[in-house]
Amino acid sequence: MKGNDESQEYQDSVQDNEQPQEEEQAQMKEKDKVLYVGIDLGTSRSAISSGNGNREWIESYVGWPKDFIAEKVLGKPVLFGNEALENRLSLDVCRPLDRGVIRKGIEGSEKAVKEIIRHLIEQVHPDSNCSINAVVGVPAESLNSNKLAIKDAVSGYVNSLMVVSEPFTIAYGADLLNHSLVIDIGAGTTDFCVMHGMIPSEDDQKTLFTAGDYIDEQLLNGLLQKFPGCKLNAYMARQFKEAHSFVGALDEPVVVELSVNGKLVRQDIKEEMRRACESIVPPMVETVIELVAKVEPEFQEKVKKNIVLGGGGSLIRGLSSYLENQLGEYGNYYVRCVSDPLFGGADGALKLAQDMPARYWESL
Amino acid sequence: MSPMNFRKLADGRGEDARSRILRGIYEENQALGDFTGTLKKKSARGAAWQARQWISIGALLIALVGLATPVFVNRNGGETAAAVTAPTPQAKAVAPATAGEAAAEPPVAVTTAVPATPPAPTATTPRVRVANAREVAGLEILDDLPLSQMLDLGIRRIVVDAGHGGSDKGAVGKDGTMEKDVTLAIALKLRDQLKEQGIADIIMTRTDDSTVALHERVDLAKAAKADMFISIHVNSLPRSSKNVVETFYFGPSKDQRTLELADQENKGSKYGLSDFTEIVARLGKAMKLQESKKLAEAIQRDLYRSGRELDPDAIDTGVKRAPFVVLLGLDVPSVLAEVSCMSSEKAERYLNSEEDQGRIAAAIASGVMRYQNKGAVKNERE
Ligand SMILES: Nc1ncnc2c1ncn2[C@@H]1O[C@H](COP(=O)(O)OP(=O)(O)O)[C@@H](O)[C@H]1O
Ligand SMILES: [Zn+2]
Repeated sequence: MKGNDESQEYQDSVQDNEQPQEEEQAQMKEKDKVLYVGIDLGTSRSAISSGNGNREWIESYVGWPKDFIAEKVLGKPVLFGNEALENRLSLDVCRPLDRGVIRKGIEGSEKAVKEIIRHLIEQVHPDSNCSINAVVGVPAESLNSNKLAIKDAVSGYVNSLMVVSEPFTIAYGADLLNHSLVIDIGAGTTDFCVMHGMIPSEDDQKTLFTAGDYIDEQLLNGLLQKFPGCKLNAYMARQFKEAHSFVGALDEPVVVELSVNGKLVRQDIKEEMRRACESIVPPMVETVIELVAKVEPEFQEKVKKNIVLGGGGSLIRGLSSYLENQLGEYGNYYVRCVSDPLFGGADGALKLAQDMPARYWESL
Repeated sequence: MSPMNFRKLADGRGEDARSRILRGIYEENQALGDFTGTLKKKSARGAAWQARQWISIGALLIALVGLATPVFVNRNGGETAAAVTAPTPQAKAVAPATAGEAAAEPPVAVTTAVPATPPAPTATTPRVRVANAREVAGLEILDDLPLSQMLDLGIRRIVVDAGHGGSDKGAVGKDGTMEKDVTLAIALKLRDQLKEQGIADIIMTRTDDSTVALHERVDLAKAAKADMFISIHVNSLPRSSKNVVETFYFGPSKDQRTLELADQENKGSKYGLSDFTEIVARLGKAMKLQESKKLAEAIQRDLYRSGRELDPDAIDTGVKRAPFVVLLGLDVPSVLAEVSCMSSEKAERYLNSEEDQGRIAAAIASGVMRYQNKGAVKNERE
């Protein structure tokens, strides 16, 4: 991979040399150029959005070959995302932000965060002579206990850096700065953040551990109960979920292929899917009500009408209206989803980085 | 964000929500501690690369200067390859440390990396260095090479691997001769021969009848930072009584018999041949393979010569590529010699003779020495 990058760079420079004068001038200008990047460091997915227009995401898995043979077979010293998952038998795989927290002291965890950051930055091809100012959105839970660790992990790869909590970057990116409630449904955590025109305090935020992974577990258990001889794991459950997730009513069956007692059979798992996906809703309802109750009374109605879902979990079909319905008992709520759940966090972080006055960056 | 929007978000304190938020984030991050010291600075980003550049330029310079005035090299090192026993720092490790000096005085960075060593017992050595430094300087994979190789400080440390051992008997002959015993006997003799040739630092993967996994052998060689790896085996042909002598280096093979052999020798590693297809394709251009091929050729030539003396019917099947696991983990010339065939009755007999084992070991040793001196020979002709 490294080799590819280098040859790419080489090709670029060869092309550039066709207009030597322009190239020189451009280089002079580039010298003091700053590249802004926004990074969304997630439990399951991490994304980068760069001021040069490049956007990339990877699954937040990092894998190191178990031995020298694995390294030769795989051809690289470290693998990411799906590639790491696919080769997990030859790798020591680490999902560094499990439960939303960088697990300090746990072998490989900090190293893995570093690798993810380095990899993401490489993916957007920063100019070699520009400096990088980054805003990194981290799971809300990391804010207190782990921001430092994350800052440490990132610092080697950027010139200037700010760390912010994840639902907040989504809010900022969607211009939801005031009287809104953002719910980021990730893999390890569901993060809530009430926005009221300033940087959210601890009281404005809450984290639940019923999120994507929890749904996977529920689905897995439900399926194993219904099909006792069935060969399944959490990874497969997740695949099913990402293909068929829904809450509330659905007109069609949810048919998947299961290996039951060694035979491949097609089964309708609609009921199990619905139950698993809906399992995260009751705690969400409770938390929404709790957070709204803390908002100054005159603004509560505004917030109720401004609830926004983000993160991969917001892709569950029917979730916003289902949640809205469940909240109906407690008042007039309006729930919608962000337009780009995949890059919502990274784009918001980039916007933050770009809006941040230069003097702040300089005096960090 | 337009001024209009700013106003819309403004509150009673005269600061709009957005600026308040931005300031809040800034202050929070500032409170997290001053990390400016640990943040990478512009100058630091290119340092490693720069150092690498300088080292390659330096190597080139040495090569050029060395061509014009061979004395130069003598003054700065002048050791025989064989006499040096200290491990040499790797190019990678040197690069960051010497970045500063390197930028100021490129050639120094390279010469200071060469350890001070005893004077040269042979006159040809400096020429060897010059030739190989020039060869190497142009290669892409420069930064992956040990510095010792880049400047060709010669072969100092050789890992000799006696195939099989312990519970793994290897091939067994009609009379019950076991490959593991023959390989050990030859390996021990090879060690002595190489020492006689002045290569003092020989590392054995085993010196007795113990079981050593393939990956342990490679790990050992890696940890030792060896300059060369020689694995000794005895072939066995399932469908023939011919006595084939062949030497392998790592690479793809389409030959059915070679693949069967590789599968046989790879037993105990959990990897199958299909795992290697990709690696082989990727490593195809790397210099290690070319160097390994040269080494294999040198050894095969002498091995076959001695084989003919022992058995006039011995067949030279030459140097081949094969996906042997034990050759895979190293970035130094690595070969696997199938010195003879256990399935040949004649061969089984001489493989049991101490004297003949010594001849085989001597053949391998002379191949190694010839490989090592090749640069000098080539350079003299130019
Ligand atoms: N279509 C989908 N339906 C339901 N869940 C999904 C879907 N796509 C992704 N997810 C889930 O979203 C979660 C990842 O969301 P993401 O916002 O990337 O999380 P994080 O920020 O924790 O990395 C995972 O649990 C994933 O399975
Ligand atoms: Zn063998």
